[in-house]
Amino acid sequence: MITLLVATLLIGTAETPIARPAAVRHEIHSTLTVATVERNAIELRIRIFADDFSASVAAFAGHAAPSDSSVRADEGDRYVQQRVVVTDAAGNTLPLRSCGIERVRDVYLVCYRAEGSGARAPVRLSSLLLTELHTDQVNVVRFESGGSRRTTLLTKSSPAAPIPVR
Amino acid sequence: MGDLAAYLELGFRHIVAVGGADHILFLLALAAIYRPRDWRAALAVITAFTIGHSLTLALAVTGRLAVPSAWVEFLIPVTIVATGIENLVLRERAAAGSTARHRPVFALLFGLVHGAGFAGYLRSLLVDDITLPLLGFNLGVELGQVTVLLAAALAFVALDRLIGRLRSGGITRVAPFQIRLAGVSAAVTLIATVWAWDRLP
Repeated sequence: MITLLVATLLIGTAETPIARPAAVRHEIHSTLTVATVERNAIELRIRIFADDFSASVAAFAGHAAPSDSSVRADEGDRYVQQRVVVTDAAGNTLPLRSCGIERVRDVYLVCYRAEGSGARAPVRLSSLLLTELHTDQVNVVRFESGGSRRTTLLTKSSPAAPIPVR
Repeated sequence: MGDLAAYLELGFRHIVAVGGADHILFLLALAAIYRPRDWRAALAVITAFTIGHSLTLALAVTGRLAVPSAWVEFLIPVTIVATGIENLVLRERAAAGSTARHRPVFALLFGLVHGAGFAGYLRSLLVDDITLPLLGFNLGVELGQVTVLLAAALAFVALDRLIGRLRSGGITRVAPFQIRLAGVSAAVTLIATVWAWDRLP
């Protein structure tokens, strides 16, 4: 009876969509942003997996992702500027200035500065990096301000995180 | 939120996320052979699995162990297949209330594989001060596993009762536990076999 049941189950599942669930590798869909609060600026140093970053930037720019998971600096900049937003207390978006992009093995290191903000002004940060690519994307943000540290997780539905002031 | 709490949440999400089907499937295979009265044996196996994956997670994230990720990703479904097949082979002994003593050893070995899988991506994200994030992530993984296992235990009890009712209609004399164990193990084994094939290095 059990053999019959197992055989039925095997045959049944072979004809349904669950028979070949995608063999997706269970990666940790995450980025790490270290936000250092300075006197008049906030520096964002973002670690982002090259394969995901390349796929998202390519989709954003409207072309296929390169096979080597590379990113064109200008396209990467446009993508990050659209997905990472720093706002002041009045809700105005602060301009982000790129301070470098570098690939180290399977990770891109991306740097941005929001000038005119920082320890003196309350600001908020939102990061929607890669959330259009993975539904379970979690962006880890570590704020460093005057020797103190605070870490928060941002997802697609998270409100912008308040940046601590000294 | 501190590093510990943040990474605890990250570890928990990693296990219970839809994308975490391979880990959930392994836990289902591991738990399917137990009933509520076998909780001591189940606890021993889960503890062994936890020790295994904590060990490789720590070694891999700190750079003391390097395992090719392609092999790790292939071996994860292989551990599921092995556990599922073992369930099918042992189903009559398990129904009689005797579970194999070697099972915690296998759980420990399989835990080593799953830990290496967790570590692959975490290592690229963490660069400094990894102790608290690593501890938090591991605790989150444990909490996620406990959540999945509790949900599985409840589902298995409900399934046993449902099969018991159907059986009272005279369909079969086989114990509901054996039918459930065979069904769950066969389904899990089939899915994991497909994954293993797709992930062949």
